[in-house]
Amino acid sequence: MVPRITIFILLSFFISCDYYIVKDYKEHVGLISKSEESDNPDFNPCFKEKIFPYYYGRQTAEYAKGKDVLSNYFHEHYKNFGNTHESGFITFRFIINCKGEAGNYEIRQVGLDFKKKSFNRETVDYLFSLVKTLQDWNTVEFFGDKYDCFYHLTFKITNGELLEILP
Amino acid sequence: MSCLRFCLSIILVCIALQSCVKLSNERYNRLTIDERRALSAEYTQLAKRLEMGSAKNMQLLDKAVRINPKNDLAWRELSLPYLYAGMYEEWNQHIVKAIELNAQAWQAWRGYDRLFFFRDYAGALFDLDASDTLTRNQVDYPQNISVDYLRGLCYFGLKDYDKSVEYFQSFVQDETIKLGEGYLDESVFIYLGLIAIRQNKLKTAIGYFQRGNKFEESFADFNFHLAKVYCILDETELAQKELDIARNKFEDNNRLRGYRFEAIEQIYLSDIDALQEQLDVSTQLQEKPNNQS
Repeated sequence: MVPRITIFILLSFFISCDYYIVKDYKEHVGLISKSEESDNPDFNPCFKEKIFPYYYGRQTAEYAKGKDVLSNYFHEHYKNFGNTHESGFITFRFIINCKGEAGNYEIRQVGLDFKKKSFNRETVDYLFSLVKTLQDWNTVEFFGDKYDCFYHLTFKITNGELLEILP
Repeated sequence: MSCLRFCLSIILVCIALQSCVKLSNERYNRLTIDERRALSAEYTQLAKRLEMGSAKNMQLLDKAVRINPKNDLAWRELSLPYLYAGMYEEWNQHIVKAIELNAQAWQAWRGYDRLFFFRDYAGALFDLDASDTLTRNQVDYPQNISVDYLRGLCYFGLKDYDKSVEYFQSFVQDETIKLGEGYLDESVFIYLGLIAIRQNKLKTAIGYFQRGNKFEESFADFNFHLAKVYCILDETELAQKELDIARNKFEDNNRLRGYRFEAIEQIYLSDIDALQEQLDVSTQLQEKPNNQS
């Protein structure tokens, strides 16, 4: 245990040298370094050193069968488990590797006011299980070479009803 | 021994602190307000030269707002990488700050973001209307798109078609006077045509789609929707002709699409295939009575 006097001296030292804490941006905004959710342990990005945003390249990354197929799939299978009072955005962020596989998921939930909220766990888990089944993606491509990218799917829910799949 | 332990513990705490947080001792109190404003603007411009959302880009923008917390452009630039990455809470925190500092500049831009990234038609309309009251007798152009066109899209999304047509027509008139019809965003005729179909004014719809089709590199969407209307009117030959053109243009990637988001009423290959199936059935039904006779 560090004695209290040590902390006092340290603080006095920093204050006298005029130090303050600033935000530390260590990597590109949006990069998912570790998955927080249960994931496929065999998933690996092809190039850990550089993962592009999904909108880079001549052709942006997207679901290989098209957004229309994606949209129909979710509208067909979506369930709200009786929760008709919840509204907001559930976003699944993940990495698509150069082989078109998806993994390293991160889940974010905000209300319609863009403030953090928690949706019903059943709904989120069910949507997550649907998202994880999608494994055929077109990733970013430069001059015929494919690279890893991070992507996101956002589900806009209003009064328990799935309205839109964004972006 | 106790002195050695004391010194070692200070060193350990320093190392721990250094690895957990980033420390700075840069102060700008000695600068005048104008100097801080100028320095902050320089850091913002420097940040814009770097890859958006990269660590360096964000560090420079963060520095810009530390130097001048009223730098609305820097706040706006800080918000964008979060929007594109689907991190909406952080996006909102930064864009709200930018709007608080300069609503005239950024509220319409938030309207654009709400419309295309969230399909929040009512929210977008609120921002676009508010921005218009801030700049009277002037048409704003967030993201280089007329605010009238954007309001037309909002009302289209809200299914208030009369209001939508009003704003789209205002956009067409205004741009034609300012720049000439050749420089219009021809996608406006897609939406006008779709509204006409929904209001059962098929001849009007054909007029709009043909008008949009006159543009040099017109979208597959015009031909596709024309094919749809001809299908409704049982003009199968014309419908087939337009659908073939639509398919060719689509395969050449000559179609309405958004960048970083899906365009409103964007068409897909499956739509073209579905219409082709419908057309095949109509053609067969038409041929049957002819064969029987």
